[in-house]
Amino acid sequence: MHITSEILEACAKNDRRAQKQLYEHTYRMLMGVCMRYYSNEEDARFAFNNGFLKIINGLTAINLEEINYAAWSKRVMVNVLIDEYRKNKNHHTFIFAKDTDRELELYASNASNAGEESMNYQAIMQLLNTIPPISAHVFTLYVIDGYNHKEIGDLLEITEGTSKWHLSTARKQLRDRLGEIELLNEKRCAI
Amino acid sequence: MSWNDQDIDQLFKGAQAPEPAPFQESFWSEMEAMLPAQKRKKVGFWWIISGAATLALLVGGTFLYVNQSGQTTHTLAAKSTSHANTPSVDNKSTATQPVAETPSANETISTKGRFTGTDEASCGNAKHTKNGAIKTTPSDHLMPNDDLTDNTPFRSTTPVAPQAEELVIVDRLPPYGLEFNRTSRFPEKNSSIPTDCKNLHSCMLEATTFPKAPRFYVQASAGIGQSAQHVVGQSDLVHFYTVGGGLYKKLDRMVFTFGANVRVDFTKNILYTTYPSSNTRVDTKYSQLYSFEMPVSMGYEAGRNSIVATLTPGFQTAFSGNQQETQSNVVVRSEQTFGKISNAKTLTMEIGATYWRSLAPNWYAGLGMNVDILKPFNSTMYAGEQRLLPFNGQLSLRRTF
Repeated sequence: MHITSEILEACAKNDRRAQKQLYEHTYRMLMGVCMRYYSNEEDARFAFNNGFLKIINGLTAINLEEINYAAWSKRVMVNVLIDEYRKNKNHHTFIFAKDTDRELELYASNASNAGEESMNYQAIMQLLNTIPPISAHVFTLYVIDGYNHKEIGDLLEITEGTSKWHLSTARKQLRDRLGEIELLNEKRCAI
Repeated sequence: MSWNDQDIDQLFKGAQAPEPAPFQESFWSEMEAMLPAQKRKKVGFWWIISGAATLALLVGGTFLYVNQSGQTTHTLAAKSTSHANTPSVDNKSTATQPVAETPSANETISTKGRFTGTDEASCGNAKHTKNGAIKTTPSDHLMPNDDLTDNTPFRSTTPVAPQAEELVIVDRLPPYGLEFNRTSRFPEKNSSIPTDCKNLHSCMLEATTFPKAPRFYVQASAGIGQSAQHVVGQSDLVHFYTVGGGLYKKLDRMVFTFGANVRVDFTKNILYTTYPSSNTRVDTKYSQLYSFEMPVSMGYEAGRNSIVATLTPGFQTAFSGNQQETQSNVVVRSEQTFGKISNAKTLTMEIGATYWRSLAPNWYAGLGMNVDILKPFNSTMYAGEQRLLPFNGQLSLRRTF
């Protein structure tokens, strides 16, 4: 389905049919992005709906003729996801501190050999849960979503230098985790 | 294996994200609840307002049109008054008649020619002769008549229906004129009246006691009664208000009305529930029900009192109320809503009786009791159970025209 400027204009005028069309299109396009931020699909959909609401409200304030809907909507959605992260920062930090060891064990049981077999998506994303959330977000935004450090700094309200430091820290910690997991798997194989 | 930065980046970039759950309509329902309300919902309200205004204009316009037609007829009849007070068409010939020994003839003399009553012998251009005879001439000597309530100049050429002329005579005649007509010495003169209204007395009685012309009425009512649904633990009381108008007709002692009302019922226990998906429930609580009714009534009037039986068919048009959506026992949406009533009969029907009492000319107060014989909420999707014959009482105020 192609999103035309007419559909966007109708959405801006609160036309339900057009909004539903846009919702379906956006769901298929961006729900995957939301799934990267939430392990629970219901939470991801709730965040997606919040993002879509921002998209609809934002349509009235932009030039619909010149818009690249895919890029613009993704930016809006990521902003919403980051906002959600900020709101729940303390909560996530707590979960991280409590569940790190258990999640590492779980990861090890899911991935038999990281070097030889392809790891499933869930196992890879679980790795991100083992590092501090802010570092994980910088890593995700930089490596997966393609933002540069200035943009990440704006999104997360940190400086470019801090963003670079978090990226470096994230890579180092992920490298350590991957090494630990390989060791665990080697021991299992030996047994 | 040693992991460098590129390997780690590639591991995460290349990870294939799982497909999210396929799109479902229920996802959109969740989203729709978060979106700003559509303006379209207000259109229904304006439809009702404009419909009511159109109805009022139609009724008012019809009333004015009919009222003006009546005034035209009355004016025409009034113009014939002076004609009626002059010698009648049957009395054109100049004649010298001996004065009869009637009091009316003497009274005519005492008025010195100013009174131009209906007494054929003493009409305007009567002249007294020395021998007591009255000489009548055609209307060329007609005296100006200041005593008449209607100063419309005489137009002898105005064509007036004989019946209208006679009715005006009834309105204007002083009592002695009526008396004279009863004892008229020229009964054959009245034979020219083509209707059965030959006797002025009976004619007057007929004109004042049994008006046959259709009238209009406007009416406002307030009532209280039982809800069509009975829900355990909730109040079954409803109160309602109607405004309307229509035709009002009296035939002899019978009274007939046919009208149109708009009605608003305020309810508390009409609850409509749907289940769009397995864990989603939408409860719509109706606060107000909007109906359009066409009551027909027939009754008997005795003096200032009347009793009428009323049949009130109608149809429910819309409701307003609160809609609440619950997912897994968590309320995700709650908003005011307005729309068409779902899963219910549109047609409603009431029968009842009303006692009316005239408070003042054209003003009536009514006390009525009605029973719903068509219960609209027959669906299993409404909470509670149908009440067998819900009844209500209402107070009304009516003005006729």
